[in-house]
Amino acid sequence: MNFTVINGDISVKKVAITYLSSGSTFFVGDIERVALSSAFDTPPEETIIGVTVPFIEE
Amino acid sequence: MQKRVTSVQHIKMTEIGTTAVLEIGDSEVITPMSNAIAVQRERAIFIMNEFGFHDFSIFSIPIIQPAVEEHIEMTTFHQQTQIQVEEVEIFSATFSSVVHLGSSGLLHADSRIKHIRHFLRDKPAE
Repeated sequence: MNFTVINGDISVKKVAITYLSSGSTFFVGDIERVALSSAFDTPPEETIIGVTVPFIEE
Repeated sequence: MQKRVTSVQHIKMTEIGTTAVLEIGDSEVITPMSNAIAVQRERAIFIMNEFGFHDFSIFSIPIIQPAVEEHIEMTTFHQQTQIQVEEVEIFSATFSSVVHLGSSGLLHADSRIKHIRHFLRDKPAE
């Protein structure tokens, strides 16, 4: 497959970001290849209902 | 691929935290990785080394990237040699995040996050 891209003029006045976190990228430029992967586990899948905090041996 | 010049007149960053990078200029390969366990407990009792990444499979399972079987011939034309940005304002960048002003070859980022809620309740009668 042949794939042609024509990039016109780009002029940005302002970019405002509050937080960048956990492997995120803010990129200004040209890049050939991007590969992103992410895994996220959050309640209710991982909820502990227990009497005390787990005992940890030193 | 011909790469354009990134032109940023003004950048303001308040905080660059844990293992974050501000890269000004071109790079070849960027591979940020982030592993996190976040525990929220009903009472603020926290013990050092309570959880380990090896206890949870989410940190070790491989995430398979889709394989591109088809051969793609990509041609890029730039009408301008510059990417212009007047102002960038970022408050905080943390945990393997990258602020990159410039071009690059490959970005391969991987993030694994495990959230745990712990409620303290009486054991139900058996």
